[in-house]
Amino acid sequence: MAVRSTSTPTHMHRRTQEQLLLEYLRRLENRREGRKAVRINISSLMPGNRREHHIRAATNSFEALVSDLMGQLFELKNLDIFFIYKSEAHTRVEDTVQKVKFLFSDDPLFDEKGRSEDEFVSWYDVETGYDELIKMVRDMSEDGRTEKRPVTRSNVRASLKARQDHGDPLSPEVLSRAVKALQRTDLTSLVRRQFICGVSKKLVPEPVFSEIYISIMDLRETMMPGINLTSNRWLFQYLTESLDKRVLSLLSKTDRFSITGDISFNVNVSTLMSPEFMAFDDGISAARRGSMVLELQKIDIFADLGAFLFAREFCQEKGYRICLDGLTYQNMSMINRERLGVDYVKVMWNPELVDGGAQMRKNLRDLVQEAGRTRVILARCDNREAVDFGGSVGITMFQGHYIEHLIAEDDRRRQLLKIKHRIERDTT
Amino acid sequence: MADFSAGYSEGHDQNAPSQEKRLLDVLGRMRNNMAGVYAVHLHLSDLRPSHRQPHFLRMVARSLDSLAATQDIQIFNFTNSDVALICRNTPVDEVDDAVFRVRAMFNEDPLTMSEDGSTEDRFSSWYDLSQAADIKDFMEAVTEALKHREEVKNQTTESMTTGRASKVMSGAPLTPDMLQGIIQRLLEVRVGDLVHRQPAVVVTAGRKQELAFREHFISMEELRQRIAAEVNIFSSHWLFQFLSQTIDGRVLEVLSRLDFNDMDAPISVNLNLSTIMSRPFQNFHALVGEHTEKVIVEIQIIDVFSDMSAYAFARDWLQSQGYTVLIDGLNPLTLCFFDPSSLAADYIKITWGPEVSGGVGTEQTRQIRDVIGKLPDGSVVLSRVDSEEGVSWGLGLGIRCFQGYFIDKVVAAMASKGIL
Repeated sequence: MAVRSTSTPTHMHRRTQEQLLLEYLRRLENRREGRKAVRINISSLMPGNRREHHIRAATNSFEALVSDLMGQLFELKNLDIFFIYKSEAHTRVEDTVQKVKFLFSDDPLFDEKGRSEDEFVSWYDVETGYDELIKMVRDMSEDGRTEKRPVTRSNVRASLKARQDHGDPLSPEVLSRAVKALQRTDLTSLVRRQFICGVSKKLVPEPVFSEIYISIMDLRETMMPGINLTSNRWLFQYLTESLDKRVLSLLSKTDRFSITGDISFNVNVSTLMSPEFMAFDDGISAARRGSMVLELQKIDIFADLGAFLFAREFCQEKGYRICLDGLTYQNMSMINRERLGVDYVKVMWNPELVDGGAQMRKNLRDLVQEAGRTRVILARCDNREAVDFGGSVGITMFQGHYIEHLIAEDDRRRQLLKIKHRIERDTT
Repeated sequence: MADFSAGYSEGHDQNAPSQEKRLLDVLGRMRNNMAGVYAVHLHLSDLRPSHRQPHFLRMVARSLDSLAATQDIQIFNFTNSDVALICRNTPVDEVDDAVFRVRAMFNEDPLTMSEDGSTEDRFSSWYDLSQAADIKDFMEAVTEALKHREEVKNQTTESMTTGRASKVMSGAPLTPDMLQGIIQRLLEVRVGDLVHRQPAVVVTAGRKQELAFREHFISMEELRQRIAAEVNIFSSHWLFQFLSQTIDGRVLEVLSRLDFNDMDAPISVNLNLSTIMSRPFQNFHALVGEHTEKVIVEIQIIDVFSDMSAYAFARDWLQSQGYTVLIDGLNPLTLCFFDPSSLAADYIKITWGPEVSGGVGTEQTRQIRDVIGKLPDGSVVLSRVDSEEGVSWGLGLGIRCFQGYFIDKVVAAMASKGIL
């Protein structure tokens, strides 16, 4: 979970988390708008509550935020946790901190009312308190000692403001409105595309297919400004069923929305069994079915395994390919991919894959071996380390911000090459 | 979960002659011209109830549609969900392919376990209608289906899904705009009388039975009658899961009244992960006090899959406080697809069902045995055991803890003899 330095491999000694945190803050100097930070003072708890599994439980709870690229986590030498994040994730961070507090609720620190919040958690606004933060972290990294509780009262105001900015959680009424609005809204402008690519040794990407998806962030801005759509996972899951149907109708209107090459998209099992999917299937040619990959979430699969197996058989028979989406380092060795009979599996990149050491590496290599090299996709690759790691365990397909970056680089290189050829031709 | 309101025969006129009747008419008219005609009867009514739901049958119909469009084939959908094909001068291979495709979709159903085309094939029957004997047999089969028409129509079905929402119910499907009203009623109605107890027993080495724990659960059908009698609250997995968060709070309220000092066996209760991190559970936790070892928390597998980190967090906390963690919502089928040992729970609960009635020797059962073998001894609970067969199946696989109607009877008998 720690931030790793990929940019400066020349440093031979391992830098401390305090140093990495300081570096990270410095890099934020010109991009500090909309960033916040929270420090969880594990060091102020009783020693019995500071054992390894406590810390692991506490840091793990930030895992989802980290993998959603919402922030970076640092585990300080005195076991305190430092999390720097985008302010849009503030509500989620508050929830996570609440969970961590609950984990330690039997600690004497929480006996006295009112004292605990200040002692245990400190909130920072990176934007306004930047200099103060830098000074504090510099002190920590220089002498390894920690400064106790540099609480600023302005944080309370800032967090209140953030909550107001963030708006209400997704409620049944809002969901009901959203589902109805979805039927009327043209989603064409919210469609995004991300490529799944092979990557050569020289980091040249080679597209295999592209995932088509609706940007949930933009959807929120367009339809339900101020509503946190993902705040309740069951209601959100229900919303995705409505979204599926809109995506299907978008994909069948090829005149308005043309996509080249093989594509994939997310879909619920229940959608595959709906009249809407039957109508979609009717409207497309057999050849086009062969160019489509249906991405299914594991939670959906296990919610009704019988329905999944049935729908999978039906869809594969028709020519669609199936991708099991959402495997993580935590559950990838738990699921029997072979029996699920899917064409692809998607594993989410997470630095824990590297931190997990030899065993984690072996698990993933086994998975690749068992499923086949051309069937495993490493998704959410946001840096070179992800691609290097994937390559080292035999993965040949990648997806994520870093891959999009490589594609842009490659395009730029080709453009330059074209210009160069033109210049050469013109001058000879 | 099924959307039962969107019936398979939607749009069909109730008063129109049944397809069975129509088939008999067609056969009668064709009687003198049966050369090159054959019939295939797909016995879909023998599938497991969960596979007979409308959305499954809709997809079967679609798979067969291509046949009807291109060949001289007529398709009849019976009320009992059987399908009959009448084919004239059609290559057997083409029909066979289509039948095989449908068969493949039900690969996990015991009905397709018998070998395709063999004499004991229970999935499909073929009739050569140029033979008088076959005509007679086929007509009898159709007449039989017609006879069962009314009976099947009134039959209530129990589905084999993972999760608590196990009964397929009637009523309008649940939609988001109903949720708020239902939750409001859920918070207001009395639920104490709806909380039932079901014992789980463990069979010891000497074949003696001991009480392992008592599950406390709310009867969903009774609750539905009280809060939303006209709504099928199980029609959407996700919306039901949302409701269950509120149900959890009410159940915990009821359990808070128990006397943990004076309890002969632990209790178990089904909770959402989000509930474990919430105030109602904290209040409950305060009341349980030092008796945490008397509480088993049951967590649904889809809840675990939806957020592994939250699960790991809750499990560690619960276990560190002395609670016992049980994973619920598995069945023998799911065990063939994932290995629960890495969840590091104290108990794994599997639902016994007709799908494993094939006996201990089958391939599927062998896989289940492998998975169970990896789990700590005594950590598997077999639930919904409604006959002695379930107990012997479980014992054969090394399972020693059982729950269900049959166990209720055993416990009642033990209690009357004063053994418990």
